[in-house]
Amino acid sequence: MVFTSTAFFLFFPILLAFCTLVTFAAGRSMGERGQEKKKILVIALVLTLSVLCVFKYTDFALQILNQILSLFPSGNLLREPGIALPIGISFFTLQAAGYLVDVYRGRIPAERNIIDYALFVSFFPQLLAGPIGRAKSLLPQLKNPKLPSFRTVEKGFLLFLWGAFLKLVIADRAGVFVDTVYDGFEAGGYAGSVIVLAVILFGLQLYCDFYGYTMMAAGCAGMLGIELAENFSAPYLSASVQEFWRRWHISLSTWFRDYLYIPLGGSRCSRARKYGNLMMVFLVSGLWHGASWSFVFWGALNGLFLVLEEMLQPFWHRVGAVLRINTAAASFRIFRILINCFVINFTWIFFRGNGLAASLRMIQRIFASFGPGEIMGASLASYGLDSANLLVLAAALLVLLLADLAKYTGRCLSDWLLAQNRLFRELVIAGTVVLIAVIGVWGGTYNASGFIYFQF
Amino acid sequence: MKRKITVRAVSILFTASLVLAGIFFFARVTKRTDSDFKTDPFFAENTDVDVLFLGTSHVINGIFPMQLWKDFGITSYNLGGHGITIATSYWILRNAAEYHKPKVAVLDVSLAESEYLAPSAEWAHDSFDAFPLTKTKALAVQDLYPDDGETQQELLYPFVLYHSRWSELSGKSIKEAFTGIEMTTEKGAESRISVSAPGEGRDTLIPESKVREVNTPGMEYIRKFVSYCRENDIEPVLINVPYPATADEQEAANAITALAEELSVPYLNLQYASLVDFDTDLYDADAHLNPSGARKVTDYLGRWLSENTDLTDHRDDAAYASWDADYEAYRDFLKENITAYAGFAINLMLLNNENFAGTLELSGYTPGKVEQKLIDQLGAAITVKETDAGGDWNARLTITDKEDGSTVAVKTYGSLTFLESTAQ
Repeated sequence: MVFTSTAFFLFFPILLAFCTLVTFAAGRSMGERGQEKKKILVIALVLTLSVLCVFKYTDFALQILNQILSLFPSGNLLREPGIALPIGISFFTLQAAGYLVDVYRGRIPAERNIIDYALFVSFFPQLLAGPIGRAKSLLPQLKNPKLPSFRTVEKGFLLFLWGAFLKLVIADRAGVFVDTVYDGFEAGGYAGSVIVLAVILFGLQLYCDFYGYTMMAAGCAGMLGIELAENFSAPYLSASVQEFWRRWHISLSTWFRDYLYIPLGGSRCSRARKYGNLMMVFLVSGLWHGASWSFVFWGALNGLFLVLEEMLQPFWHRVGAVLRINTAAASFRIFRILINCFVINFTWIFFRGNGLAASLRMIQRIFASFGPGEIMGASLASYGLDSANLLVLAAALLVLLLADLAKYTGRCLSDWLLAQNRLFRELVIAGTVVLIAVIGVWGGTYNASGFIYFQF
Repeated sequence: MKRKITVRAVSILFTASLVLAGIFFFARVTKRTDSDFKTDPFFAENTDVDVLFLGTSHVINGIFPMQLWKDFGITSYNLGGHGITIATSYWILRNAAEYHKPKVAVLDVSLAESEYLAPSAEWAHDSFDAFPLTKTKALAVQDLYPDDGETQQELLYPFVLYHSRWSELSGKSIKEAFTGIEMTTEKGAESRISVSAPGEGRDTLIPESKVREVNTPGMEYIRKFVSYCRENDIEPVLINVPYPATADEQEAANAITALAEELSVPYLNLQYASLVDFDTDLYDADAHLNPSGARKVTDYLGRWLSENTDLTDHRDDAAYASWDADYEAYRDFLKENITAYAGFAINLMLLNNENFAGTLELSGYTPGKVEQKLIDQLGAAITVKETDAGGDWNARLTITDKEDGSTVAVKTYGSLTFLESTAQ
């Protein structure tokens, strides 16, 4: 549940102001009272992160406690208050906490201007769902804003447009199919092949939903002359789980790396400790994504795959050497990408599934009755999307693949477009706006989903 | 520098124009045309429209403006809508009056008992889509859906909803968006063609004095309707079109009598006018009149309006010649219905129209109760003959156009089963 309407407008500014003031004051104090730095850091972090914990995890904690209490016959259960989650809280608390640690480590000076700092914490394009900004790169831009040029505004608009395409044409369209299958696979007795397709489409939906939001945020900021951190870099073209997490939600992954993994000892410790650190980071990441066992399991699964990947690396090297596999060949890279996609999509089942038990039943269903014919013919159009919408989805995914391939090979489509003749640019921009307005899933028909990452 | 700024300004304007043109094109081709089909002739009308009918499907299916023209010379338009609440009717009148201010506005009160302020969005689209975006339309939508921003948006800007119809686009729909769609020839009315018996418990008339307290948004909007009419020199009339109502619905409709008296406004509660026969005049079991029933109600209404209001009979006015042309198109529509619909009872029911006469030949077949009632109601308009020349049919109905004596259709039936229809 997220805050809406009145509650949102009442509580959101209060929480935001609280976190901003606490971290600002702590940053200033750390600069002035060097010897008490650590104490101040700990107090400020506890205060800031407790806001997140209270609003996000109270119900989950009580739920666990009640599960334990229910084991005792006379145990009275505690009332779960059903606290609503203020939108964006997971993002701005981490951003503010990151700032504090950077000041503590002396990587940046404490900000002295409360207005500039408040703008850093609450910069509107990234406030609701990131990317989680770093003070080192974002604060100087906000303190000394440059007047945006026509070119940067145009580029910002292109980024926004690309984000809207990803969200409205792909994510929300795929979401119709995904919701139909995830919510109805048991009642509808759907074939395993349909479930597999829904799982793959959810992976793409999540990517386009979050990547789309990020691009719209980057576009808005860009039009104001502010450059936001990159959050996605063709993650589904990763050849390993490790690479995937370097390319997916980069601002969160690097936050966990810098402020959790490294302080825990990172990789400069024993192998067992390193694996433990990895597991810890992904368990926390799972909890950050949602207060439920499904997310915890999802995080643990990712950590486990990462650990396994590390552990088995020498073995695969040996196998490669014995079989004389050219690991530099494109075909081998594609093979690894496909395997990795399989692994990542497997973990998404628990991310999207309606609870841990339902996710497990879903996997069971895949193997129980695969029915490949179900996704081959006209029956594919009976899961919420008609054939025209399926066709548009396929075409849009092809566009996404081409864009990701360009990014993967170091090319930038927006820069390419901006280098074209003016008339061509104008036609492409106008055509894309109209295309999104017409074939985008918005308005009253589909009950388009909100941004998925708003709930985290 | 100046040149650079000019080029960029032109570039932005050009791109924005392309976007607007594209959106306009797709807004037009993806729009659902049901509302245009029903309402566009109202906007296109060059003459005065003296009477507007407002209300639910009871009105759309139960009152025929073309018959009012033919028989009484009254120009009217039926702006009723399916599931339309009284508050919605009030706003439709206010919107419609900006295009044709009527002399008389007739409001159906059958939904006075409804607790709903507004109908579901789908039904509201049928009524509002055709109206251009104006301040009055915005006020209507805000008033009817005060806490529903999404519905407000989609009613004011239907592209919000209809853009998703892109997948249904065809060459025909694109062409129609620019050459014009086919429009109703019934001046907003809608003939629903079937013959049904009333539903269980819906065929008993309770005493008119039996009422129940009704305190709904509908009652409030009846007052607003009357007050708006008076402020704008429109004569308000309240009506309850006969239908097989439950006792509860009848009590609610009876409660309007007191309100009408309080407001000094005529209330035609036609449940008690003994106009229709629910055995022969219903399209469906619970609510709607078929054309036979509608013709009876329209006839009554035409007489009442002629006798109780100052409406002018425009039939001899050359300025209203277009109504005669419209009536000819309406006659073609009636003939098409006669040709298209099968079923002995349905064909007899459709024959209940002053434009047509029929000859019924029976060969070893005795009409059932409802069929006999329909035959009796036709009176001199039908000639019944017994014959033994049937062969593979038991009944043959020949329908002729009274105006020129031509045969409209010959329909044969074998043991109640429809065999064939021959259009002439």
